[in-house]
Amino acid sequence: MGQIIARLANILNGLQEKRLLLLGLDAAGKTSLLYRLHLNEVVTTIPTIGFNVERVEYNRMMMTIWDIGGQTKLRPLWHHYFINTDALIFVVDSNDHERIEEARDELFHILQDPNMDGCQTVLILLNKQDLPGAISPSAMRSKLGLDGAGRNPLMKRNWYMQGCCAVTGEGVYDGLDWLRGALNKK
Amino acid sequence: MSSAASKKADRLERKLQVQLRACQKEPGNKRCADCTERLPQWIISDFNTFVCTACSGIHREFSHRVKSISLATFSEEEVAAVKAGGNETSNKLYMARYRPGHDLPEPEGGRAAKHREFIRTKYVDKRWYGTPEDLANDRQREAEREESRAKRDAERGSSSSGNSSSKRQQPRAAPAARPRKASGDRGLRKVEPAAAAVKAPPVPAKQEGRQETCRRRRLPCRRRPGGRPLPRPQVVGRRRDSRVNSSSSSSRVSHR
Repeated sequence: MGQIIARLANILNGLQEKRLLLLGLDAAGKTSLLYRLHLNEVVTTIPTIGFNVERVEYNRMMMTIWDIGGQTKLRPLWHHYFINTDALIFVVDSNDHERIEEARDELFHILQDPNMDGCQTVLILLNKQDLPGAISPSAMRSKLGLDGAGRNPLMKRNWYMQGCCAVTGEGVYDGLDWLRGALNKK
Repeated sequence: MSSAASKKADRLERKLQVQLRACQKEPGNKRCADCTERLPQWIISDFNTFVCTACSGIHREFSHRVKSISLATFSEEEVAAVKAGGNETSNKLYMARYRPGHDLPEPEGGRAAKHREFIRTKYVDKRWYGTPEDLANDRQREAEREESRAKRDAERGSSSSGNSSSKRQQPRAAPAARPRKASGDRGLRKVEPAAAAVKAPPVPAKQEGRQETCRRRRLPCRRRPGGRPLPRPQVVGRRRDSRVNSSSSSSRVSHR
């Protein structure tokens, strides 16, 4: 009951309730990013088994962010979280040169799922841009196969790519600003 | 066709999983490679070691590849590498020059900062890293140094040579060791306590500081025995009112 009243109060205050999914390969920085948004600080994380969920208010938008473990055998469980998702934040490790294709395949696999049809907003965060070996966002664009049209399921959606660093917080809020604008337009 | 292929892949995966589990049960791998935690569940692919959850989180900070034994899929090559490697093999390299009791102690679990420092020193700075050849070279150098020391002692030809040589060992070893990297910082470390002893002047300065804080602490002696500060005399009435409204911590700050 209290929760219903709280939600009603949020709606009256003009707070939007949004459900966001935070996905990506293991060690991409999803949990670090979640706690950067929630606590605005760097936390020491351990590999996520299962999920973390936090409610974060940003600019009159109340986001419920689900951060789900990205180990190989946890990825088949992602689809259980797809229903009613407003936006997907896909985190890519820019420093992991060997697994970019794997990340791309996972992203396209998520977006092809029928349960994700309702999710028309995709933010791709290129994390770890502070590391010296990081691939730049412009190079990432072609490496992730986002250049051409073709069978690219992203092209039908509203998507945006943003380089960031969860440790320093750089670029994270730029991505979130875009996300907020995109969700408001809809 | 495809189902047959997937069945084959399944079988292979199960086989690899069994091999990994067997490898995990080897005596060297029953303990985390970087702390004292038992039954580690994570593999660091860069070093083919088994580590605990806390250490795996810190390894990720240094961009080392971390894989869970039960939640990740492994290729045949990876499993072969883990079988060939393991904690003992890795530590033979990365802990070759480690001296227990003298160097950074192995973290005991719980405190992430200690783990981070240890893992950074061990794998990123490679402070204790040494191949068998390096160790052999170390030993040879040590022997040479010993020899030259003995020769010098003999040249001096002092009467009680045995006693004096053991006394002189330390000051003489330090300059000889300086050009070499590994033993160089050992020499430096030995110098440190002496240097600290020489720096006598800072001690009275510190005392001054302590006095100052004492004086400062004595200042709000308008405190009641209970510890809560009394309001300042000039604005008694209003102050008390405001203190009731605002939190007591803020009023305490104003006193300091």
